[in-house]
Formats: sequence, structure tokens, C-alpha cells
Amino acid sequence: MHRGNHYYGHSAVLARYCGLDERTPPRIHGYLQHGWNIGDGLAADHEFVAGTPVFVWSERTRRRAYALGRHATYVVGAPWAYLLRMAPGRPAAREGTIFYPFHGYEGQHVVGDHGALVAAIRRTEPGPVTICLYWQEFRSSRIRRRYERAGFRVICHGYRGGWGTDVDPGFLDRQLAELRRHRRVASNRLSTAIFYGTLAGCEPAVYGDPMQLERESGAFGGQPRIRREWPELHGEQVDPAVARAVVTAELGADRLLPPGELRRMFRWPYADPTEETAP
Amino acid sequence: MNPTLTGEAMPAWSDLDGTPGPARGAALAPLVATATGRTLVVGPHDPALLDAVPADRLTLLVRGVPDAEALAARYADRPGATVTCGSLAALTADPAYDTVIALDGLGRLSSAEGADLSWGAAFERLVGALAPGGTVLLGVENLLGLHRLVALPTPPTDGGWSPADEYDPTRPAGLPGVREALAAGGLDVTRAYAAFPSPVAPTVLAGTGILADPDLRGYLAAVLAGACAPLSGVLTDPARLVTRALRHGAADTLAPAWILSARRPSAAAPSALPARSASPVSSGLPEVCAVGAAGRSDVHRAAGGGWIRRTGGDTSPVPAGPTLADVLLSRVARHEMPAVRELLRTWQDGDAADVAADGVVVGPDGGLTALWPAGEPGAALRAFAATLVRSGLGAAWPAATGPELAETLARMAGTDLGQASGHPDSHAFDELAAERDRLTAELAAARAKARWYEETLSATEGSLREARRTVELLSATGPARLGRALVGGARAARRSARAVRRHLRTVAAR
Repeated sequence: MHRGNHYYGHSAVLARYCGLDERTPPRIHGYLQHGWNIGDGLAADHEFVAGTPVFVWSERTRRRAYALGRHATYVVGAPWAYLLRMAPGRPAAREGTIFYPFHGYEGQHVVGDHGALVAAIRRTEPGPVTICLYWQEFRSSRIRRRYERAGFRVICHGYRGGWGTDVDPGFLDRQLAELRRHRRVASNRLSTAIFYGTLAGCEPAVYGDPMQLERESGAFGGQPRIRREWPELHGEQVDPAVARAVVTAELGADRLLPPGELRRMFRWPYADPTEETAP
Repeated sequence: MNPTLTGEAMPAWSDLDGTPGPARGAALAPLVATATGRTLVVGPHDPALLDAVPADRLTLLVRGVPDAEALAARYADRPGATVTCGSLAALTADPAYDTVIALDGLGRLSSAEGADLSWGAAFERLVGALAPGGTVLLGVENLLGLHRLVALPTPPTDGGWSPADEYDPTRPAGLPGVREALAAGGLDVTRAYAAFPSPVAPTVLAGTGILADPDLRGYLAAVLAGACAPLSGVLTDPARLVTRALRHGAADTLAPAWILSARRPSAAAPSALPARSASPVSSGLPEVCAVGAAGRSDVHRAAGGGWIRRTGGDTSPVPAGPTLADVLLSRVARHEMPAVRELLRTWQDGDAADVAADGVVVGPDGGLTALWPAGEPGAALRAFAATLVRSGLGAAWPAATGPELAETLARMAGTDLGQASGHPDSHAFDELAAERDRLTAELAAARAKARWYEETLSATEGSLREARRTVELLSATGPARLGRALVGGARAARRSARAVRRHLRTVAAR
């Protein structure tokens, strides 16, 4: 129903979970939340077809969306949490920090002092640092070189994809593989990557200049509210147990659906009921 | 034996035949079985109940001659049995009876041929007939009972020649009023039951004390909802209403009728005003008497505390805890879906899978006890889906609030309903209205979605046309392409190139 359902290969991951072909995930009859969000789960400019359900990640988001007048919602949890359930990690040697500088997206670029951020990262991180840039920033050799010159490894997970274009079922797999190599996950804003990293076993940290989006609206309270509402996830050192509990709730990792129910909610085809056991 | 006809006998009237018929049902049997000594039965009672009255000397009072004749014929060979036909005026003021049975209440004791007796006047005559030490079994219809709250308007019947019930100032107000009337008549209330689902044919009698026991909430909800469920042609679902009444401590207030057993102190006893039965004296009667498909079930207090129920020869403890439906609904209301999945799975994986959630009690250890018989496979899930919709909680599952919800529940439980579909029919008007609203919303959503499909299809077709043109242009052979470009094809090529550019731009923007 919306290109956002395919971002980051989300529909592909869920199709895989449901035992369907991830290369051609069926249409999700609803709108799937595609990033951590302090509003109703979807982007502010998201278009809606009346009566179409919104599939949100967490119970908190559902309650908030309901209070904002969006009642046709259902908590399914983040595709990321399904991916982790399908690919339980083996304990592996983890080293260093993967840092996700706050990124813009296709419509809005980010404005900020990358130099100051580099300095903050250097000051804070004792081990090797991987910088993961969004494809927009990664394509800018100016921004990329700035981090490279600081001795950081610079990577990009790829395109997030869209309507039949650049759909990348492997996006989250690559991100998971990277996260599992690192001991810490950090960013200058509390954002989706921090949640993903924490659930994948990294110790989270949020510090440094949070930067600005062009024409950043500050809807739903913006950065001040995020700091106020989740203070326990901010700082150079964060209690991993507390963080894990918060992250589990925010990603709905404690309330994932069995495949049969997920297919039912998405109106996806389902086959044999004996396959209805969660992987 | 010939019946004794008084001047107020109604020659062409029967209360035993037709609607609503006499007071009846096996649930009343334990009460009439307590009758002793000289016994008077006033008003229409099912002969099957009268057969069970153990008293040696039995006097029956009915107002219709055909009823009196039928009863006289039935008891022609029973020594000590007499039948009188007329109104309550036929009773002498002599306190001659050890037991007076008026389970049908006082509403059908007046004759069209005589004066109408108010409730208070009839009551006075009735208790006046009771000897010291005697017991009266009195039924009182609750005019604010749930049977009336859910009823559609009914046409007047022939029995309503002076339907003063509602506006009779001598009628006691509620159960407390009935207790007061009995106390004022010098009687001790020994038992008070709430009767469901109808005043004349109750299938459940529940002691008013036990209705307040929170441990038995689930058992009672299952029993009462089961008793009230078969009603049809109603404003609102009586089973849901009785469950809610129970939850809010109002089950006795909304009971269709009350049945009380009260005793006149014997002459030897101190004649002080009787206590208002704060602690009713147990008379060996059950606390709950419920008649279901499996026969009659009586609940008594167990010797060591708690409650036991006897069904036929079997005795088992009364399961404590809420109903599965209640637990599920409260979880759904709070959107605790992991717990809902867990409960559904436990239910559908266990022995009670085909028993409706309203008829299953969840014990303190999470164990399930089925109180209702199992239905068709899948019917229980469908019934619970209907309950969810009725309770306004179906919207927890967006875009699946109708009959589809049962299949979703099945998937949550890790099973499926197969091909069988359907939704329990609802005859309640409030549900029909809610269903209409739901369908209206669903239709609006379906139309919006159809519009979206239409737009998407048009856009896709446009892209396809452009792509075809591009393919056509690119797939032609070299000279042909050149020729086309030269001979009037330049414009087409330009258009195609524009289309390709536009297409690429659109793609990039996405």
C-alpha cells in the first residue's frame, strides 16, 4: 500500500519469516512503520487510504497513535526483531564502535559540524571506529573523507529502496552482520540504529552534536522531548540492561506475531497450518 | 374428585396452557420438596412440580375452571388433595397451612369476575393463611429484571384486564422491599434466591449471598450466561447483561425474579420481630440450583469451606476464578496481545477447545474447567469473536472486525478454522445497529481502497505504456531505427526519449 513498506527490505524480512519468497514479498495491506518514531509510527507526510491499518512496532506507539486519532493500528514489532529471531547470533568477538551520524533522507539533508562530531567520537571511543553513513552522505566524498581522515572505517549499508526500485532484501542482514562485529553502537541522536544495535547485543551510547535537518519541524516535541523521555539512553556510557529493556519494548521484540497471525494481518497468503510455528 | 368452584372461578380461562404458562422447571423442585404438613399451593404451577410436593394434605387454588378440572382429575386418587377454583378471596382468614407455595407470585391470583387485589392485599391474605411455624415459598417478579430490560415491546395479552403491576404502590420496591414486607408480616426469611432467566420458568436459582462471592464470579457468570443465552428477539444480549450485572454486584438487583422462603415463628418461640435475615438459616436447600443440558446441578457449602456441586451422583468442587472470556476480554482491552496469544493457545490446545470461552473457568493455577458442553469445532472461537465485537473490543484487530476475526484468533492460537465460516447470528437490536455501523465503515474503507487501486492501476498502466514505447524504440534494427527517426519518426523518438527521462526521474524521486 506504500513504498515505505519495502524500505530497508522490511517486507522481504517479514516474507521470509512467513515462509514466503522474500524476493517478491506480497503487498502488505496496511502501512508498516519503518523507523523508530515519536509520533504515530509513520512519517508526518505519509499519505493514507481510509480504513487501512497501520502496523506499528510497539505498544507505546500504538497508544500514542490512538491518542493522536489513529485507531486502526496493530502492534507487530519491528522487522528487525523478526530478523534477530530468525538469525540468533552466536557469541563472537566484538570490537570497537559502530557510529551512525544522524542522517538526512531523500527529501531533507542534514546540516551540522561533522568536524566537531569526529572530535567527540575520538575523545570517547577507545577502540576502532566504524562510521556508517546513509547513502546520501556516503556519496558525498567531502563528508566521507572527513571521517576517513580521522582514521575511521567508513561504510554504508546501501539504499533503503522504494516502490519496486532498489528493493534490497539484504539491507538488514548486512546491518546485522556489521553490528555484531562491534561492541558498542553510538550516534549523535537517539535513533533507529541505536535500537537495532542494542537489540543485537551492542552497548549503546548517544552523544555529540545532534545536528539539524533542513527545515526540521520539531513535531511531537523533537529532540528536547526525546532527551526528556529517554534520558537513560543518552550519554557516553549507558546501562546496558536498562537500555535493553527499553529497546525490547520500543521494537516490540517481546510481542512478535506467529507467522500465521502476521500473514493474516497483512492479508498475505498462507498455506499449511502445520507450518504455523515461529522459527 | 370435583374441584370446588367459587363465584370467582373463570369458566373459560387457563393459566396452565399457553403463554407464559405455569411456574415450572426442575430448578424449583428442591423448593417444593421442602413442603410439609398442610400445604396450600396458590396460582398456576406445573403439575410436574405439584407431583413432587411431598405433603399429605394438599390444597390447590387456581382461577381457571379448565385448570381446576385438569388438576382434580390428576389428583383424583391422591388422598388429602383438594382443588379450589377462584380468586384469593376464596381463602378463609384461618391460619391453617404449614406450607404455602406461591412460586408464580401474586400476579395471577385475581379473577376477571371479582375485585382486583393489589400486591399488598394479596400478600396479606397469603401470609394470613400461614400457621405458626409454617413456611411460605414466595416468588416475586422483578419488574426491572433483565428479562424486561432486554424485551421488545409486546402486544397486550388477554391476561391484562387490569395490568396494574408497574403502578401498584403496594408492590415492594426491589428485593429489599420484599424482605421488608415479609418481616412486616412477622416472617423470618430463611432463603432468598435470584431466579434466571425468566420468572415463570427459571433454570437457575442463585442464593443472593453467593452472588457476591468474588471467587465464584466465573462459575456464576458461566451458569447465568448459559441460562440467559437462549433468549431471542431482544434489545440487547441478556447473557452479556447478566455477566456485567454480576461484575458490578447487581445480579440480584437485575434478576428476573426473586424466590424467598420465609417462616412464621412458632407460637412457642419468642414473638419478637424477626431479624431481617442478615444471616439466613440454612435449611438444607442448595445455594445454587442450575438446570442445564447435563441435568440439575446443586451447589452446597463444603464441610471444610469452599463450595461443592452435585450433578446427578457426582460431586466436585466448584471451580474458583473468572471465566476465560472475562480474562481474554480484559487482556484484549489492555492490548496485552502476547498474553492473549498464550491464553488462546492454552485454550485451543486443551480439552476445552470446543467449549465457549463464557463456559470455561480459569483457575488460580491457570487450569481450565469447562462448565458448558463442547460445541462444533470452531464454534467456540467464532462465538468469542462475536463476543469481542459485541463488547466493542473487536477493533483491537484493525480491518478484521467482522466474521474474519475468528480466523485471526485461530491464527493467534496457532491453528486455523479451515473452510467453515460464519458468524453467530445476533438478534439483539443494539448489535444490529453496531453491525450496521461496522459495515458502513467497512464499505467506506473498501471504497477508499478501490479508489487507491484504481489510481495505482492507472499509474502502472501509464508507466507500462511508456516502457513499451521505449522497448519498441530500442529493439528496432539499426537502419529501421534510423529510418524511423528520419521519416516522420523524429517526433515519436523525442516523445519516447522524454518519456524515458520522465520515467527515470520518477524512479529516482522514489
